[in-house]
Amino acid sequence: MVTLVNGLIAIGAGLAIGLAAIGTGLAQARIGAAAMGAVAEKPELLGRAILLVAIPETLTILGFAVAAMVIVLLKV
Amino acid sequence: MLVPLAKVRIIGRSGDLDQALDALHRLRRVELAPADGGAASWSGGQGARVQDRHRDQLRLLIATLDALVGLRGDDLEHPGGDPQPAADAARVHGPAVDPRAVARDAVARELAALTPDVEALVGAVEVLRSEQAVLRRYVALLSGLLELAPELAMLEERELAALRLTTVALLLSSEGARVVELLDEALSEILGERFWLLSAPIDEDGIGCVLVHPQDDAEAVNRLLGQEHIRHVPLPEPYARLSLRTSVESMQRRLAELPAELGVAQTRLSEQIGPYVESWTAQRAALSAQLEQLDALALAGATERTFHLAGWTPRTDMAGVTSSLEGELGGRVVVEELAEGRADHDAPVLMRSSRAARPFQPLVRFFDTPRSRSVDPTGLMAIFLPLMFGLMVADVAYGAILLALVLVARARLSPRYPAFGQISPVLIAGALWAIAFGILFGEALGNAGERLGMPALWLRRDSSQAVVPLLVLAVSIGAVHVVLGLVLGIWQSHRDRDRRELLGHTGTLVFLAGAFLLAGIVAGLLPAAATTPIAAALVGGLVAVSVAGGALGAITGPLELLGAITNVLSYLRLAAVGLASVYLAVVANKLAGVGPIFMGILIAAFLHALNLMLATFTPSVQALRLHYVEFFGKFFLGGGRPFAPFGVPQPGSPSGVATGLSSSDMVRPASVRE
Repeated sequence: MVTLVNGLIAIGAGLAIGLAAIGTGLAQARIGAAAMGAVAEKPELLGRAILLVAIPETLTILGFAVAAMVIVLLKV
Repeated sequence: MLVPLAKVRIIGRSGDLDQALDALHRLRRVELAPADGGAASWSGGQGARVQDRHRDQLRLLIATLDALVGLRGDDLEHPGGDPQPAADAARVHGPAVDPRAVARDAVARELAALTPDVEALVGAVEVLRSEQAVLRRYVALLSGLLELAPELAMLEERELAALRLTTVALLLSSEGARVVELLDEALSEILGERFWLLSAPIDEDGIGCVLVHPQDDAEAVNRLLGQEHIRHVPLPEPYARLSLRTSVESMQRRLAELPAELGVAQTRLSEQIGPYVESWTAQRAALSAQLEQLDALALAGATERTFHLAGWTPRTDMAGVTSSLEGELGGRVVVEELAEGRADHDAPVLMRSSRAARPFQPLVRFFDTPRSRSVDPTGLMAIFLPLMFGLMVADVAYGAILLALVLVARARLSPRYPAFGQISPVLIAGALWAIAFGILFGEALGNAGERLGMPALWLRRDSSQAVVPLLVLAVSIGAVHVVLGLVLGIWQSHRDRDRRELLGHTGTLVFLAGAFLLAGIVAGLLPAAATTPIAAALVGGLVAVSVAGGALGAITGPLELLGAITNVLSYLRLAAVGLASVYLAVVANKLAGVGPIFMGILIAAFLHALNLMLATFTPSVQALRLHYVEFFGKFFLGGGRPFAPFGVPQPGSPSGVATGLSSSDMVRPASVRE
């Protein structure tokens, strides 16, 4: 049943992963731009560049973990 | 795994250096390295100048041979590719070349005798091609101009002469918008009304103009055009005195004749060089071998009467190399294995994997080539990467479609793109795991399988009860993977006698074990009595990592441990990406039931296609990232240099090969020259 509490929990879970994803996006934008600049000069750095770009994704995953815990533990 | 390489030293008499290099070149099992204190003595002074001259001559001959065969459309360059293990070298790169089979001077003489004829034929072809290109441009330009003045097109040369008129074709730059207007004004000033100027854009850059004026005013018009820097379009000589229309017709006739003439000239050229191509190919290979051996001279060391070479060879090939060299040089050479220092990180790296793991090698090298004496993670990657991919996709239908697509693409693309053929087993393994996990979760096109009565062997990912088990499964896989990485890191640091790394990795491992057990207590799986040893493990791990961090360990230690826990949690993406995929499939199936049936099928097909595309791309990237960041970060040492045996053509190498110098012109150390 959809109640106000459940709705607020769902919004909280959404914010947890949404804000984390925004943070990841901002970080990846800057890292990606710098990494591509480096790759343009040294193409052999592509592997390292992808690695660096991928690092902030963990933020989103942690956001997902928090969202999942909010939903599961509070039993929406 | 990394094939163990032995560091070898080859010692012999100075006079046998040619033969030793020649034998090594044909053997293709040893990568030469600079010998201690050698290069200067072998390549200094006048000897160096002789070597340089020979090297230049060889490069010139090789370039000439390449150019000659290139005229026929063949390419003498060796195919690129990764350096192969010695045993595979002959199969991949063809039989070893005998550099002495071809005399440099003989090749030079043969080419010198042949070159004038070839150059004449090439010149003839070039002239015809040039004429073809020029005429095409003129025909396009003049045809455009004729359309400006159809009346003019009707005039014959004799009519123009009778009217005492001259026709001039002009090409103006279109950059200036008023250029035609300005020209018209300037002509009016000197000719009054006695001219006719028509213009139209010919292409993006130019405006074509036709100017008709009395012959008597030709000098004044030419002077004006010269002053204004206007590009006059002079016709080629044979067409210069013809009318515009006749010029165009003549040019078109000539253009129609040219292909046949060009074909004849090219046939003559092919007939001239065709009989030589095979011998040129052999000569080129031999000259390349000579150049390589000449370059290798710079690596040799020397004493008063001996030479010594240093290099690397697979340890398993050591006996074969020794016996081959001793056999070739009649026992006048000593091959010995040198002790390899732990810090000898200049050693090359030869990766050799099982057939099943070999397709994953490029993925490891994409990250970096493992350093000598380090762990090669190819085998472990072959186990975990497809498993992670399959867990994220986990759909029987998606897996089957992906498998079919890969098999079809491999059959069609492998001949043209061998790299795809090499790496396609990675996708096939991933697709098979996706089918397997799809059966486990009872998924086919999301929940469509469930509707059709497909059972789930474990749980359905689209149910609310599935979230926690999936998260636990993902973290468990992460724990196993990270712990495996740490164990490899401990082994690597033990092998390198790096106590600080050893302490750091061990501390992290102990701390993680404590954290996992603590999670077990929180979950009620372990008794509370276990709290004390768990606390001891956590504190002990923290202390060990902090001590390993040195002066700043108190700050970096906790951060390191936090990073290790984050690494494990990072595997939650296995569940997150999978859940996103299954929910998109569920949405596609729900939308299929809304509205008319054909619309529903269309929407569902589109969304499932989109999901399949995402399900192929995203899990691949995420699985790779988990390996590169979370797994490799614990033990991988990069910066390795691929093993490049002497005599095996290397990608990107110019062509050079061995000494090719005859005994008479072989360069000797100054002290040995007598």
